[in-house]
Amino acid sequence: MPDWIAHVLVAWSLTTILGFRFKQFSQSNSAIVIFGALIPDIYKITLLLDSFGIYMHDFLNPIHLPIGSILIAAIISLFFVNRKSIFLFLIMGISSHYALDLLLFSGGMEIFYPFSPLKFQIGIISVTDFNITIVSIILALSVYLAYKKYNKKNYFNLV
Amino acid sequence: MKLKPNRLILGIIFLSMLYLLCYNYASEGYYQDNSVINLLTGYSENQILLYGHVTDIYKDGFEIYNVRDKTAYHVKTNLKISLDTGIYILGTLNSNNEVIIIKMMKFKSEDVLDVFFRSLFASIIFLTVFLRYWKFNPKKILIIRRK
Repeated sequence: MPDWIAHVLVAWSLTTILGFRFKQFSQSNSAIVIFGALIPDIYKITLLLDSFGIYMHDFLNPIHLPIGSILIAAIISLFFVNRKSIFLFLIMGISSHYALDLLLFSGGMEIFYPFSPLKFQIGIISVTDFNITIVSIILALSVYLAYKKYNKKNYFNLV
Repeated sequence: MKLKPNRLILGIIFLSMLYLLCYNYASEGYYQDNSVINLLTGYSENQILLYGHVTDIYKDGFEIYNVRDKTAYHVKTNLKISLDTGIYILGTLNSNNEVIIIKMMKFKSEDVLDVFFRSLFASIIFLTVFLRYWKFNPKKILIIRRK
């Protein structure tokens, strides 16, 4: 899986680019999209449990599948006032997470589980590849500079 | 502290659905640890896959605590393994929980640490951005937008 830096930066870049055109993608909502982008990796709690000798990989793996992530997003959205819009922003973040993970070569993901057990992955990047992180940093820096420039000229109300 | 009943009911429904999903996934045996795919090649019924840490060293091998079935196994080998090393072992099981190694792979703990520290850094970025715009209201149990 790409590291969290890549997931956070890609989610932020995506919402900031959309924010140039749509005012719904404010910086506060982009924080929700970033939150969504990290939801599938709640599964990483299994690494912590491993160190205590508790093996939960097989039970908790569905959290790192779209259906499990959507259910977690639904639970999280209950803690917000505008839960429908928050849910949609979280789903957007989750989608960006799986879009990145689908590029990897790591044995595939059952993205249509429980409807289909078939595994999918494009397989063009290895799990330990840092290039995806470097690309996401360059992308985020470019978007940040554009954001600053447009903000300075007051063309768009982004915050 | 006040929680609206509809939120509570929806929360219980979603949690139950998540539990059923995880239970179903685990019971159907879908999970395959990608890091042991190579070890699993040729895995047959008279073989055993162990996953855990070395807990004791013997003259003829070592003891491993298998986290999958919470059982200690005596692995017979001439290989020198230090205490607390994390390993995957594909082997044949003999009497008295003795295992003969067919294939063995050490955990890459440095990769796990690397991912951990990068994730920790990203968590700080996320929390900084999130807490700038949102705050938790403990009385209403709600996350609300900062003004």
